[in-house]
Amino acid sequence: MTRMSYNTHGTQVGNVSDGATGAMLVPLATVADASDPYLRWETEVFVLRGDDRTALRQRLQTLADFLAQHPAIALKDLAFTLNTALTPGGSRLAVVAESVETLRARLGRAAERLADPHCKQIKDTRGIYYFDEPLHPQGKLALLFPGEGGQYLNMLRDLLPHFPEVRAHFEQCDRLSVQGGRPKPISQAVLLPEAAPAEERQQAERELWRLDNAIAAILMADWSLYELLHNLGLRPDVLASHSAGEFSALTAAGCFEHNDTLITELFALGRLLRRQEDEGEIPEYVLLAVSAESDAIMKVLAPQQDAVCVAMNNCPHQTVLACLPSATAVVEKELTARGIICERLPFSRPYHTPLFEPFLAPVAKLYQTLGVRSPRIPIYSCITGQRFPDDPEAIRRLSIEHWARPVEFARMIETMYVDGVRLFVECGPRGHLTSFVQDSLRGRSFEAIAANVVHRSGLTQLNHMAALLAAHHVPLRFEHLYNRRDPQRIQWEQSGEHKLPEHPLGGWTPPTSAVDAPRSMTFRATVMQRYFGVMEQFLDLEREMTEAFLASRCGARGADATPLAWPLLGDIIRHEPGRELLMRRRMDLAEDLYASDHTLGARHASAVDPTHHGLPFLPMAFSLEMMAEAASLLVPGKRLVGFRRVRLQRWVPFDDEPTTVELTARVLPEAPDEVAVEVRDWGNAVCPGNAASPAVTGVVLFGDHYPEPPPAEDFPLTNEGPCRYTAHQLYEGEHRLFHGPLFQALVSTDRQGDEGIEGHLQTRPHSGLFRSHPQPNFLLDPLLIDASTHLLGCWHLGCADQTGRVVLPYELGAVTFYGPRPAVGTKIQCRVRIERQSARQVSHRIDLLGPDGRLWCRLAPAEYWRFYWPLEYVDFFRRKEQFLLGKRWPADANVPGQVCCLRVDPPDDLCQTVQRAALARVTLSRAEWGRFRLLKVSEEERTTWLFGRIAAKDAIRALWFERHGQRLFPADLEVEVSEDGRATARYRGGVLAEELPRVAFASVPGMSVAAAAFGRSVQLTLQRRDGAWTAAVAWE
Amino acid sequence: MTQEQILNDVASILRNFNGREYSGDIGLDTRFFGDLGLASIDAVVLGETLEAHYGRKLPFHLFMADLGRRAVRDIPLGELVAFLHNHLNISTTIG
Repeated sequence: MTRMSYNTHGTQVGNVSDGATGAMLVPLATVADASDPYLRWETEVFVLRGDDRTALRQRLQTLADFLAQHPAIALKDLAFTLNTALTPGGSRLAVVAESVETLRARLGRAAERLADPHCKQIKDTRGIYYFDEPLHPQGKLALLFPGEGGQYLNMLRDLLPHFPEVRAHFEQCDRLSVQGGRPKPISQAVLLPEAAPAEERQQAERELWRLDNAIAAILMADWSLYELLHNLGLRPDVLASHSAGEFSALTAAGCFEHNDTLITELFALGRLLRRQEDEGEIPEYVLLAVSAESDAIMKVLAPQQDAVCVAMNNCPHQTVLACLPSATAVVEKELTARGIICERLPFSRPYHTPLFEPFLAPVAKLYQTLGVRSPRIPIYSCITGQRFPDDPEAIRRLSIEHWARPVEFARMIETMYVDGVRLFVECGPRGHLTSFVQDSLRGRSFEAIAANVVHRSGLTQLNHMAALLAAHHVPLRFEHLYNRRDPQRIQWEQSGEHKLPEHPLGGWTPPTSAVDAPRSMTFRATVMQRYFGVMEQFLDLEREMTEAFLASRCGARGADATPLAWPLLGDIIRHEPGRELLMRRRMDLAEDLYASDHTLGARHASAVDPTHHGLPFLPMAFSLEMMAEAASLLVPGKRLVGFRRVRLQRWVPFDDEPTTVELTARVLPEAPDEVAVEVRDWGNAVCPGNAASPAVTGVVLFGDHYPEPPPAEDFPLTNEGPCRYTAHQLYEGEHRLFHGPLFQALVSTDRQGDEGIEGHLQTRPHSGLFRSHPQPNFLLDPLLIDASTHLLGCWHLGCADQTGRVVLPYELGAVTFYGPRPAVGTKIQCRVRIERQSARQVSHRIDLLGPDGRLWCRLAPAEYWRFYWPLEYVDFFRRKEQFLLGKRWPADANVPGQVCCLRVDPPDDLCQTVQRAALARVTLSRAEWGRFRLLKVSEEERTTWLFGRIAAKDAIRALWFERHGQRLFPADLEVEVSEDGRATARYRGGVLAEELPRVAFASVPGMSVAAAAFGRSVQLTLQRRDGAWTAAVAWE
Repeated sequence: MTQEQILNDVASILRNFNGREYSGDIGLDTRFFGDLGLASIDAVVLGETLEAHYGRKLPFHLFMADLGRRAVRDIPLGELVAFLHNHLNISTTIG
C-alpha cells in the first residue's frame, strides 16, 4: 500500500517496512539501543518457535550463543526480528526480559526445563512461558471488561507516550468531558503528578472513586486498552464484563456505536448518579467485600438478612454485600469471628441490588437515546451468567435490569468455560477480573491474564500478556509494539538457516494477523476510507494550485493559456456567463495518461507485464486544475490566485471503461472573483459514484494581480539532520511512494528536524500527460503541487514515531499563488512545516520558493488525518512478489516443499470498495480483473471471491518459493474454478521449471483458506467445531 | 519456629503457587504483588494454604483485613513471615 500513500504521505510505509523486509538486515556493528525512552522499553518480549520441541531447544541454544557473542544487541530489534517472523503452530517459548543478561538467564532456565521430558509447561511469573498443549485455537478467547472499582490513579499513564490510540481516546474523553460540563478534563481525575504530596494523592484517590469519575475513568481506560489490544491483533471469540464494564463490552460487540454521543451520554449518566448520591436520593449503604461464597455468608448472616443482601458473586473467595450502615459493624463482627475477611469498599450506594430499582429511569433513558443493535460477537451477561440474547430489545431490558440485580460473575465464567472459553484476557485496568477467573476455575485448564495491573508498568504487563498469549499460539500482530520504535531486522542466525525450516517463507514476511491499526470497527474503516479519499484529492489539489499559480503567472489568459488548450476542460452542458457553469469531463485512461503513474496499490504488479500497476485514480492536484479551468470560464480576464476551503470527500478511481465527472461552478454573489466548485463522479464498475454528494468541493480565487508574498522566513530545525531517504529511494529504490516517472518531481531531500523538512523540487515537462494534448497548458502545475506533498511523506518516514505515518489530507485551508508558474526545469525550494499534530491529525504548512528566494506558493493549513495501517499490507504493496498476505494455517498441514496450507483474513479496510479494488488490481491477472469488476454479486461475495483467489495464489507462491527459490507475482498467476468447483492455476508468463502446484481453496465470512500441493490432488474441508473453524487437508 | 524456617516454608509454597511458578530468589524483601505477581484473592488462598500446611487456624483476617487498600502499595514477605512467627508460636490447632 504504499502506494496509497504514496502520495504524500508515504509515510506509513516507512521504517516499519524496513523491519519487515527480510532483505534489509542491519549489520550488527551498528546495532545499539537508543537512549530514547520511546525507543527503549524497560522490558521486551521474545517469542521463539520451533517445528517441534527439539527444534525449539536447538533454536533456543542458537539464540543463547548469539547473545553471548553480542551482548550489546538492541533488544527491541531482536524482539522485532523474532516476533514478526512467527509462523503458526509448532512449539513456542516466550520470554520477557529487561536486559541481555536476564534474557540469557531465562533462556538457560527454559533450556533446563525443556530438557526434562516430564515438563509439560512453564509459567514463570518472571517471564518464561511454554505449553506443550497450547489452549489456542481449540479454546475460545474472551475479552473481559472491568467496571468501576478497577480504576486507579495514573492508570495507563505509562502507555500514553507509546500508543497513539490510547492518547487519542484520552483526548477524545477529555474533550467530551469538558463539553459535557466538567470543570476539568476527565484525565485530570486520573493522572496525578508523580511528585504530588500524599495529601493531594489521597484526595485524588477519593475523588476518583466518586461515581461520575469512576464510571468515566474505567470506561476511558477499558476502551483505550481495547483499541490497543485490537491493534495488537487480538480478536476475541466472545466478550464479557463486570458491572459498568458492560457498556464497553456491548460497544465492542457492536451493540452500540463507539462515537462522541456514546461517550457523552455515559459521562452524563455518571454525573446524574453522582448528583443523586450527593442529594441523598439514593439510600446509603455500605458495600463490603467478603472472602467467602455467598451461600456460606448468608447462612451466617441469617439474623441480619433484612439489613444485608448480596450485590456481587465474584468468585469463591469474594462476595460483595450491600449492608445498611447501621448493621455493618455487626455483620463484620459475625464474619470475622469465623475467620472470614471483610473489607469496606469505597462505594456507598446499593448498586446491583433490588434497592436500586427506583433509580433506573436515567439508565433506561440512556438506552433509549443510544439505541441497541444485535451483537456481532457473542457477549455474556454478568447478571444472568448466560449469553446475551440477540434481540436488541431483550438486550436493552437486560442491560437496564443489570443495575438492580446481583452480579453473577462466577456463574458467568463457569458458563463460558462450559462453552469452550479457555483464554480470558482482561481488557481494563488493575486485574481484578483476572483473579476472579483464576479463583473460579482453579484446578482446571485455562489461562487468565490482565492487560494492565497496578503493580507492574503498563509496558511490562503488556509484554507478559503478549508472551503468555503467544505461548498459547494466539495470533498477535507484534509489529504494533515496534512500529514507533524504529525497528531494525537483525541477523542472529546464520544466513543459510534463514531459508528453512524456521521461516518456511524465506525472505517473505507473512502477516501475523488480520488487521492493523485502530480497526475493526466499521465506523473507523469508513472514516479511514473517507479520509483516504480526502488525502489523495487534497494532494492533487495542491499540485493543481501550484500549476495554476504558475500558469497564471505566465500570463493567465496569455497566449498559452487559452481554454482550448486546457486539458481537463470537458463538455460544457450549461453556461451562464459570469454566474454558473455545468461541465462533464470523461475520464478515460486512453486519454488521461497521467493516471497510470498515479495508482493506488502502487506499481509493478507483474514480472510478465511491466505496464501492470495499481488502480489509477484522479490526483488531487489534477482535481484542482480541473476546478480552476472550469471556474476560469466564469471570470474571464482574471488571474488564478488561489483556492480556499478545498475539501476532499472521496477518491475518484479510473476504470477500464471511461468514467464521467460532473463539475458545477457558481460565482459567489458576494465575491465576483470567487467561484464555488463542486465535483461529482458518476461512478463506474470499480466504484459506484454518488451524484448526490460531491467528491471534492472548494472555492477558486481569481484576481487582477498576485498578492505580495510575505517576507521569507528562516527555517530553523530542532534536532536537524539529514533525511532518512533520498528522492530516488522514495520513488524507486525503496518504493516508499507510489508515483510513476511522470510525477517524480522531488529531486532532493535536504534536511529535516522536529519542525519539518526541506528539499528541492524541479518543474517537470508536461508532455506525455494527455493523449490529445501533447503539450498541455495548465493554470497551475499539478505535477509540482503533487510533488510538494511527497516531501511531507518523507518527513513522516524519518520520524521515530513509526505509527500513524499514513497521513491523508482532508482539507486545504488556503492555497495562495504569489506569482506565475516557473518554467520547466526550475528548481523550487520546498519547506514543509509541521504546525501541530496529535495522534489523529497533522496540520502542515507548505512553502514553495522560487530561485530568487521569494515565496511563490503557500498551502496552509494542510490538514491531514493520520492512519495506522497493517504493515503486512504496506509491505505487500511495496514489493508484491516478496510478501504474502496469508499465514500458514493449519500448521500441521504444511509439508515444506510439498504442501502449503494457509489462510487470509480480509482486513476491514481492504474490504472497502476502492481499497479492495486496488488490491484486486495488483493481485489479479488482467483477465481475472475483467471478471472481478463485472461480478454481479453482493459486496460480501465480491470480497470472498477476491480473497479466496489471493489465498490460493499465496499458497502456490509460498510453495513454489520453497521448492524453486523463485518469487512469483500473484497477478502473474491465474486461478480458474470449474463448474464442479475444482480450481486450477496457470502461470501467464510462459513455461516454468515444472507444473504449478495443484490448489484448492474455500472461504467463509472473515477467512479464506487455500491448500496447494505439488503433483497431487488436494482437498480442503472447512468445518466449524465448538465455534471455531478448522481445516482438514488431504492430498493424493 | 524461627523466622528462617517460616520463610523457607512460605518460599516453598510460593515457588509454585496456583499454577504459577516463580524462579527468582524469594526472601523477606520479595514483594507480594510486584515480584510474585499475586492478587489480593491469592493472599486469601495463600492464607488457607498456610493454615493447611501448619495444621492450625490463623487469624489472617487481621493481616489481610485491609489488603484491598493495601494493594495500592506492596507487601514484603517479611511482614507475612513476622505475622506467622508471632501467631504460630502461640496459636491453637484447628479443631
